[in-house]
Parts: sequence; structure tokens; C-alpha cells
Amino acid sequence: MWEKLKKIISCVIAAAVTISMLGYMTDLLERKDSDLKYQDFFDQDEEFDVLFMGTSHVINAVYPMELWKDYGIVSYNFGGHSNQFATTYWVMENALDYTKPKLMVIDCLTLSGAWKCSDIFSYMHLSLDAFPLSVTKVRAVWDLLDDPVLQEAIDNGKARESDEPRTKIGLLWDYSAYHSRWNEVKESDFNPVPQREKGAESRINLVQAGFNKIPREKKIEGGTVGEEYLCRMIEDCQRRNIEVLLTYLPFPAGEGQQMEANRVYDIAEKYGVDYINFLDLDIVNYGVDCFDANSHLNPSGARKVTKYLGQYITEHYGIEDKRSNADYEFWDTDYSEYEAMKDSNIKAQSSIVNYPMLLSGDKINVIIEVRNKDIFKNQLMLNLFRNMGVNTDELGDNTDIILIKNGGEKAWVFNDFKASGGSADTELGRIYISGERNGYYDIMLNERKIFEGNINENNCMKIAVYRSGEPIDNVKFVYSVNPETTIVNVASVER
Amino acid sequence: MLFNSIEFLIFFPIVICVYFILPKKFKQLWLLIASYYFYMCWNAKYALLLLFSTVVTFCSGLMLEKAKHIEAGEKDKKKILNAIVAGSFILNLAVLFFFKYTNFALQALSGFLSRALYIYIDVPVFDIVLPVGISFYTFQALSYTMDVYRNEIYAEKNFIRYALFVSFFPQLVAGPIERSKNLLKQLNVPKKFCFENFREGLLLMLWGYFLKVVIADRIAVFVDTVYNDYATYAGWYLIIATMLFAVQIYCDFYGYSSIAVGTAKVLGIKLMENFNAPYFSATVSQFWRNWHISLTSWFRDYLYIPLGGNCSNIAKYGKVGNTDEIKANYDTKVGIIEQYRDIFITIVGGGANYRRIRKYLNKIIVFLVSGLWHGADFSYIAWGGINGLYQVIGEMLQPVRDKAVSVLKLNRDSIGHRLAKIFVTFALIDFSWIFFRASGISDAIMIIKSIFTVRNPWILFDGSLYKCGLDIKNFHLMIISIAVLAFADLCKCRNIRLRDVIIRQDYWFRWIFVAAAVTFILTFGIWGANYNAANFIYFQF
Repeated sequence: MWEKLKKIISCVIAAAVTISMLGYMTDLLERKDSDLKYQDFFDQDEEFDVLFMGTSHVINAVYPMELWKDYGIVSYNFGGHSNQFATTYWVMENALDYTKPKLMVIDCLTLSGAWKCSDIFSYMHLSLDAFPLSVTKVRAVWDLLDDPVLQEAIDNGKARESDEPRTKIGLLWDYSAYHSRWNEVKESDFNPVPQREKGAESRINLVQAGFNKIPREKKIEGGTVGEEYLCRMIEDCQRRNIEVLLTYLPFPAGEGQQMEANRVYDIAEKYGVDYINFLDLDIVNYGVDCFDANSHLNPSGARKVTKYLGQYITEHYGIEDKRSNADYEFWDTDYSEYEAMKDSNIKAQSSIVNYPMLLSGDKINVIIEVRNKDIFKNQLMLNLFRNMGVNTDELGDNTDIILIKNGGEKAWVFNDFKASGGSADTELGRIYISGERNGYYDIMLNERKIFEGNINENNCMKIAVYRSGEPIDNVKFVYSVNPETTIVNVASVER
Repeated sequence: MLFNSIEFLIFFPIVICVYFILPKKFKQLWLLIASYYFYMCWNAKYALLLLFSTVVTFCSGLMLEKAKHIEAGEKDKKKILNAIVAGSFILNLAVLFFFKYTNFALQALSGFLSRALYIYIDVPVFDIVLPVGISFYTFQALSYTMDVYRNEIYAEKNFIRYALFVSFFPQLVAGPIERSKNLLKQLNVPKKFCFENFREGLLLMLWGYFLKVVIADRIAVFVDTVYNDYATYAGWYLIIATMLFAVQIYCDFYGYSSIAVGTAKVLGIKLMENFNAPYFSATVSQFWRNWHISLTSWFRDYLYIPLGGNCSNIAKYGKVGNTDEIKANYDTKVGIIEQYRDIFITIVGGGANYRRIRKYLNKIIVFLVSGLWHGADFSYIAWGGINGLYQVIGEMLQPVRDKAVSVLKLNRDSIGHRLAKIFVTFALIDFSWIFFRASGISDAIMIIKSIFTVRNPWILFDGSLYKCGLDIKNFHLMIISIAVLAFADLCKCRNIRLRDVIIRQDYWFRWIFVAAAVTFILTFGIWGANYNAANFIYFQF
């Protein structure tokens, strides 16, 4: 009997050691994107009040940390790259295994979609990898990979060729997909750096875009696979007493997408839920707020959308402001890390276009000294200044200093600054210019030197950025402006 | 279902758990159901072919048993027995021929007619899917018929047991080709769970998985890259790829066999070992005694000996130089057709010459058939023929080699001499693998030409080898893994069983060893969703 018991114990221990080793290797070798996106969600024991569901449009357009700072809303961004509605449905179902929010915000892009999941399989990993194995996850994988329409599209070459084999086991046991990463392991695999965007993602670029509005009557027919799953999402939320807000986030939408957005009015009416069609609103400026030509918003646009949503949610759903709730103090800590991330994004910028775009809407103060006034001939730069709250009518060949409070909340333009006395009082404090000494001068704000310059330096623009009174960045763009095309050519960026 | 698939890792634990829980009388039935399920995972309707082969050979066994006891003259009885054996062989081989060789035969016939007689026929290519493992289970079933015929076993009367013998899932699709004497006898006795068998079986399976997914499938990436574009990867690329292919096919097949033997061992069944460190062989004939042992011995017992083998039976009955007596005494049971023999003896004369040449011819025939068994293509036949020729030439040159050793005063027992022989044997075998791996005879010839004409040895040193599908880390891992295999085979040559060495260690070491081995294989193996699981090479045979 003892011998038998010994053998059984031996087998159990051998199995336990094996599982432990495999567990360690699984954590080490897996692609970290999904874990990092959802890490804060799984690390938090307290409930979330609002979850945002949808595609990459949601990832790039809604910043939960800003909602926390401005409205005290505890939310998480569950948007997934290239998510089809069925995928979004299953992401929501999995998320609801771990939290019970008061409000579910569902973006309705891809409503007309006939597929259940993205043709690019790595996006499926991104959406689902971080969820632990559960009955819901197994059901999700079984449903999502049972997709003859997508399979036919792949077979006919109408869908993109997937970057990875589309297998159920790859999603349920991601080690089966990631074990071959052993030859790519880096320090970041051992010490992954946590993201503090709560599922969102700031994508930094600026593309000028626009779109033509179509009449609201033009809409897609109902009964699509996307609509089927949207209805299931709404019904499931209502069954669980979770309020639903439908959105169609802003981007330079084509006709087909606008028809999708128009169809959502009918669905919202059918279920008696609110719907914000951002395509019908004048919230973003497509001239400065787009990351790319056909879909996503950059941080400037995202902050506008986030602010609007924050106000709307606060006014319509009575979500509690948790900023004074001691249980959620750690969100302030996370916000500090989030700010540090934003600061590092600013400091990493060397584009004269992206830089002012990033400053817009952020809780930062900015001092700009313009030496080369030709920049005001460029319409995009004027748009960017306007985006930061500057009255561009005041800008011209005699503009010396521009002060911006809280990323555009208020702005001051100082023309003929030195000539008019070289000092002024603003809400940011007293700004003045020191006397010239051997051809050099200093610009000061509240006794603090901001810029040091040469009086003959007429080829640059200097920008100093402050957050909570502390300097973040001080950069000098040396540039020229083509007199005919008004294109700005940056010669160097100095810090 | 592949051994290296997730499905098998679910299937196998269920099979063994149920097997050991079930009452004795249901164990065989359960294994039979599991075996057919295992086979039907590929193609359910092809299980009918397996069933057909099983029914034909089962009935032939019973009929042979009955015919042995009918009251008739010995000659008549013999005729009946021969007819039954012939019937069993014809039916089974007809199925094998249809599925495996129809297109090849038609193409060969068309080629012959057009080249020799200038008759051009537009031969259609039939869309025939080769049933997995058909060559293996057909040969296994036929060996049963022969064994009953030869009175080596009694005919099996329990159909379920016999069906399980033909379809036993561990060795169903890629061997080892078991003998009825060994496997049927073991299937007679339902097994109880034995911890020692379980442990040894799992260790064997782990070794098999290491060979397959860590070595063979990794090498396959390199070899496929080079062989699929041999015009670009010329000269030394092909030399390295060909050397690696020798290791790949060994690990692929040895890996499968180890998993099969280990799987059966867990169930309490002992299957024959299929490999015995073949690349440490000092001669080609020794290599073939150590390579795919179950098939080689099958051909020896059921083809080579019936053809006359080494003609020792002639030596026993005949008198040197007397062709009439040789003819009279030759055992017709194992003989070839009379006409062929008459003509042959007339040409070569009797006695020693006849025996020697017959032996050579028999060897060539066996290897040509072996080549054809491996694949319906002239390149496989060429591969078999080359290996047959190696042995014939080797034996013919034996006196010359002996003389050279004597004149040069070489010490045959020295390590250097032995290593040289191992190297030469490997080189010869490896050369023949070119025909096995190439897409056809013409490709093989082009590859050989490239190997002997293109001079680019610098690719061994400038990092070019790391651009053939395997990066530097994978390439180095492959080399280390091959070194582990070489070490294990060396131990085998010295009769050291590494499994026993591991089992003798303290419990904590065993735990860590098993955990580390599993983790190593799962991490460094080429498998899973990120990879399109490659079939075992030998399935196609």
C-alpha cells in the first residue's frame, strides 16, 4: 500500500514540478501586449463603473485616465484592434466575468460586418490572450472560429492573409503559439513595463483629413452579423441591469460607415438606449485630430472625445465621482505614471507638427517664442495654434511670445513684446524679457528663466512645456518656410 | 491524428485511463475502438480498407488452419494452402497497388511506350488519396497469413483480437511492423496497470518527441529551404542539407517509433525496437540491420529467404557444379518461378557462382522492392537499387579490401579504422538519401551535379548557413540537439540504457528531469499554432 502511495505521490509531484516550470515559461515567453493592455483591469479588485467596447477607434479615442482626472469616472478601455462585433461581444462577456459596471459604452463601427473576427489573427490574441481560461473563453473561441463567411473570404483572397494560423488551441493555450519566441526573449520579457492608459493607446501622428456628410436617411439594411451581436450585447447588458450607451466615434468616415452610423439610431430607439453619433457633432477638427487618413484619432482628437464623453456620462448616468474615495487612491498614483508617460511622449517628439498637436488639450502650460514668423504663413501651423486656444487673428510678423494655459483653456499672444515694454501679467504669472547683454537676452516667467536667446537668431521657434509648474521639455525647432508653398522645413531640433 | 498533435495529448490519457479501469473482457474492444478512432481522424472512410485487409487476412488464417486438417494428399493440401495464401496476398496487394501505384504504373507504361515504341498515349492522372499507413498494416496483415501458413502460429479465432492486432494504434500508421508471434500473443493477455511500464513508456515517448519536434522538424526547415531551391542553394549548401537530411529522416522515423513503442509500453505491450544506432554502423549491411529493423526483417523473412536468401539451402542440398541436383533439391516453397531459375542456372553455371550471383540478385531485388515500398517513384527505386548495389559491390570487393588491409598492415580494431568505416558508410548512405529526398530522379541528378561542381566552402564560415530558414540561435540549438542524439546512440552502442540510468537516480532528480524534459521539448520544439504541424515522413509509405 505504502509503495503504491509513494508512486502516486511521486507522479503528482513530478506533474506539479512540470506544471510550475511550464507556467513560468508561459509567462516568460508570451507576447506581452495583451497582458499589458489588461493588466490594470485584472490587478484591480474594486469594480469598474464604465467599460468601453469596440474597435481600435475606441482604443485611440477614449482615455480612461483623463476621465478619472476630470470626472472621477473609473473606467476601462476594452477596444480591440480590428475587432468585429462578435469579438467585441465575447470580449464583453469575458470582462463581465470579472466586474459589474454600471454603464457599457459600445462603439458601433463594423456594424455592417459579416465576419466574427479579424482576418489578422494576432489581433485576436491581443483581444483574448489576457483572459484566463474559463467556460466563457472556451465558448468565445468556439464561436469566433466557427466563421464560414470569413473562411470563404480568405479562400477567395478577399480577406487579408492572416499573420498566424487560425487555431482554437492557439487562443485557449497561448503557449502553443508563443513557445517559439524563446529566441526573441529580451529584458522587457522578464521585467515588462506596465502601461497606465487603462486599455487605451495614444498614437502620435497627424494627418489632415475630412469627409462629406450624407443624409441621415441613408443607412445600411439590418440583419448583419454585426447587428446580431450588437443586439445580443445590449440585451445581455439590460438583463444584467447595466446601462448602455451607443456611440459612433468620429473619424473621416466613408459613405458605408456613415450608413452604419445612421442605422444605429434605429437600434438605439428599438432598445431605448442613448446614442451619440459623433459624425453628426462638431467635436473634433479633422484637420489636426486624425492619426491616419481613414480611421483613428490622435491624442488631440482623443482628448476632445474623452472630454465630451466624460461630461455626457456624468450628466446622464449618475456615475459616482470616486476621486475622493479612499479605495481608489491608487488611481492617482496610476495617473502620475500616466502623466510621466505623456511627458516622455512629448520629449520624444521631433516633429514640428506633432509637437503642438500633443500639447493641445493636455493639462500643461506652454510658452512659445517665435523668432521665424514665416511659420504663420502655413495653414496647418495656424490650425495647430488655433487648436491650442490661440486666436490666430492675432498672429503675425510681430508676434514674439505665445502663452497657453492648460493645453488651450486660455491663450495670450504678445506682439511687439520687447517694444511694448517686455513684460506682462497673465494667469500663469508675470512674463518679461531681460535686457540685452552682448547680443543675448533671457525670457523669464515668475523669475524663472525660460529661454535664453541671441538677438540675431531669426530662424527658430522655441517651446517650453510645464506641468504643475515643473518643466517637462524645452525645445528649439530651427526651420525655414518655403515662400511659395509655405511648407515648413525643419533643419534641426535642439533640446 | 498525429502523435505530435494536441488531439493525441488528449486522446492518449483518455485511452489509457479507460483501458486500465475497464473490466478485462472489454479491454480489447476498447483498444480496438480507440485504434479505429485514431485512424478515422484522418479519413473515416479509409477505415474500410483497414477493415477489408483485416477481414481478408483473418479469414485466410482460419481457412489455412482448416485446410491443414482436411483429409487429402499432401500435394493437394499444399495446393489448397498455396491458393489461400495467394488469394490473401493478391487481394491485399491489389488494394495497395491501386491506391499507391496506379498512377505511377500508368505513367511508367506511358513513358515506356513513348520512348521504346513511339506510341503516345494521353494517360489520365487519377485523383487517388493514399490511405495513411496502408503499406504498414498491409505488410503486418500479410505476415500473419504467412506465419499461419508456415505453422509458426495458430490462426487467431477471436476477430476482435485479430482486428486489434492489425489496427493497434501505436504502430498502425508508421510501424514498427509487428509480427503476429509477438503482438497477438501479448494482446491475448489483458494488461494491468504497471508503474514501471508507465514510467518507461513515458520516458520513451519523451525521447521520441525530442527527436521529432526538437530535431527533425527543426532540420526540416533548413533542408526544405535548400532542397526546394537547389539552384540558389548550391554546392556546400546541398552538402550540409543532405547531411542534415540523414539526421532528419532518422529522427523523424526513430522519433515516431519511440513514441509508438513508449505508447504501447504504457499499455503494457512490448513492441520491437526499430532502430539501433544505425549511423554508427561500420558497413552498409550493418546499417540495414540497424535501420527500420521491423521492415528490414520483414523483407528478409518474407521476400529474401523465399527468393533463396544467401542460397545456404542450396549449399545444404546441392553439390557444387551439379546444376541438376541443385535444381532438384532446391526448396520450391521458397523458390522463384521455375523458368527464371532454369534460365539463370544455365547462364551462370552451377555451384558457387550460382549461389553468389543469386545472393547478389536477391539482395538487389529486395532493395528495389523496398525502394518501391517507400514510394511510387523511380527515385525511390533508384534509392533502393543504390543501397542494394552498395552491398553487392561491398561483398564483391571484400577480397580486395582484405588484401589492402593485409598489405598496408592496417589494424581493423583501431578506433581510426572503425571511425573511417563509419564515416564512409555514412557518406554512402547519405548519398543515397539524395534520391529519397529529391522530388524526382532528374532533381536528384541536378543536386548531385551541384554538389560535385559548385565550390563555395566559404558559406560554412560567413554566416550564410543562418539564412536558410534557421536563425543562428535555432541553428546552434539544432547542433546541440544532434550532439545529444549522438551521445545517446553512442551509449546504445555500448549497451548503456540511458532510461535505466535515469530511473536509477534519486526521486528528486527524476522529478526535475521529467519536468525539465517536458518543458524543454514544449519550448524548443517546432509545434503548435505558430507552426503548421509537419507530418511524420514515414506516414506516406
